Amino acid sequence: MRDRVQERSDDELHAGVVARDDSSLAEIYDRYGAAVFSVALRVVGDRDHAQDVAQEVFLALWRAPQNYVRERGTLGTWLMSAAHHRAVDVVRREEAVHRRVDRAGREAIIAERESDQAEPVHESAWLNWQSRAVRAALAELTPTQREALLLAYYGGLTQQEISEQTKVPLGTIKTRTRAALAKLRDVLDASAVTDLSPRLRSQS
Amino acid sequence: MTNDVTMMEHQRIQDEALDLVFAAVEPADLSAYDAHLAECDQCREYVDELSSLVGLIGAVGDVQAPPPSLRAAILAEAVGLSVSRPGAQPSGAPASRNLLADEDVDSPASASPFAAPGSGERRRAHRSRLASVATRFMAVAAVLALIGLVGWGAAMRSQRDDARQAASQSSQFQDAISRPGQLTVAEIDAVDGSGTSRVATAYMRDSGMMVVADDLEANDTSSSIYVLWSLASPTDRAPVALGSFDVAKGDLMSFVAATGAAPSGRWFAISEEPGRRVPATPTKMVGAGEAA
Ligand SMILES: [Zn+2]
Repeated sequence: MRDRVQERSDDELHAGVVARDDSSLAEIYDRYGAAVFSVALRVVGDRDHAQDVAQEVFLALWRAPQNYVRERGTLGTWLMSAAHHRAVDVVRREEAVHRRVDRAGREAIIAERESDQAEPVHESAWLNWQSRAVRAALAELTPTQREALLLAYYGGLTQQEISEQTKVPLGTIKTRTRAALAKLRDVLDASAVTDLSPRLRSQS
Repeated sequence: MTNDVTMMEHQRIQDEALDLVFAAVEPADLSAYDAHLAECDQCREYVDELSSLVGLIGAVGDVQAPPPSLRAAILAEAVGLSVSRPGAQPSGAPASRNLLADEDVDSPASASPFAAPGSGERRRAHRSRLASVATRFMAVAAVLALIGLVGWGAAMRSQRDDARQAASQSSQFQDAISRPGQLTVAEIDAVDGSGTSRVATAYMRDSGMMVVADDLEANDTSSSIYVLWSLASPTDRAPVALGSFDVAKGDLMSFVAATGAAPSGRWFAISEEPGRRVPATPTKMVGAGEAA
C-alpha cells in the first residue's frame, strides 16, 4: 500500500495510462475497482458477469484513455457511469438466457450465491463516504421521484417505456426524473460530494 | 451559425438525454447522438452533467470487493498477456473480443462514453427489446420494492402475465433474495391431500412481505381474504397471523398488509378467510411450507 503522501492524483494516473504505464492502471484499479465491480454487480446481479463488466471498463480505459475527458467529470464517476452502461447492456443480452432458467436452476443459483457471501465488504473511506452521501440524497427525493430515477437506472428502460409500464404520462415521468437528478445534484453539492464532479460546481 | 434545423436537433438531443445517460438508447442508435455531441458543446455539457450524476447513483449501497483474480486478469490483458480468468463466461462475450471495438477510436460510436462494449449486439433485433421491456421492468420494480428502495406502486401498477415468472427468475431478483440474513423465503405447498403441489412462494423482509402466487386462486375481494401465518412447527396449533393479502385474477404477486406480528418459527402457511378479517386461528388452510 502506498503512503498517503505518495498517492498520485487521478489526473496523474490518467496521464500515466495515456503514457502506457500499466502501474498507473493498477493504481486506478485499486482506487475504483470495487466501485466499478459493485455498480456492475448491482445491475447484472451475478458476480461472473460483474467481473466481465469491470474487466471491460478498465481495459477500455487502458486501450482508449482519451475517451475520458477531465473537464467532463471525475475519473471515478466516469468509470462508474461506464460500468453502468455496460452492465445494462449485459442484462439485455442475457435476458433470453435468464428466462429459461427453471425452478431447479433458480434454487441452485440461490444456493451458490449464499456460499459467495463470505466475500468481504470493501473498506474504502472514499467509497463509503460517497455511498452515505448518495443514500442521504436519495432519501430527500419524493417517493415518485425516487421510483422514476431508480427504475431508469436499474432497468435501462427509456422514459417512454417507463411511462408505458407505470401507466404514468411520459411528460410526468420525464419531469420526475429530471427533478430527481436536479435534487440529487443540489444535495450532493451541499455535502461537497461534487468535488468529484467539478463541472457541476463551475456551472452553478 | 445556428439555423432552425440545429435548434431542433439541440432540443431533440436534450429532450432524449435522459435515455442516453441511463443507457436506454440502443447501441445501433447511438451514432446519431454521437455525431451531434461531437460538434455541439452545449448539448455535450448538458449530457455530461446528467451522466456524472447517474454515475454517482451507483455509489449507493454496499461496496463489494471483487475477487483478487480480477486485478491480475485486467493487468495481464493490458500488457498483452491474454489469460482466461477463472469463472469467465464463455457466452458472455469475452472482454478481449469486445474490446477490439474500443481500439477502433476513429469510429464515432466507440469514441463515445455511451458506446456499448461490443459490436455484435448492435444487430440486436428491436423486436426482442420490446418483448423484454415488460419483463425487465417488472423484475426491477419488484426488486427495488423488495429491498425497500422504492414503494410497491410501480410493481403493483404493472401487472403482466409473464412478469411474475420474469421477476422471480431475473438476475437482479436472484441477487436481492440471496442477500444473507435479510430475507426469508418459504415455498408453500398445497395441503388438500392430493399430493404436493406448489401454491405460492412467500418472500419476507423487514421492509415488507410479498407472496408470489404460483397456483393460488383469485379471491372474491368483497367476501374473503388470504392470510399468511407463521408456525413454530407443522403441527403448531397456535399460528401467528403475519398479514393479509388479495390475489386478483392474473396477478403476479401480492403485497402482504402486515399485522406487525413477528414470525414464530420457520414454518409458514396460507389460509383463505371469509369476511375479510384476520381471525385468531386459520379457517380454511390452503397451503404450508418450511422456509428455505
Ligand atoms: Zn446541440
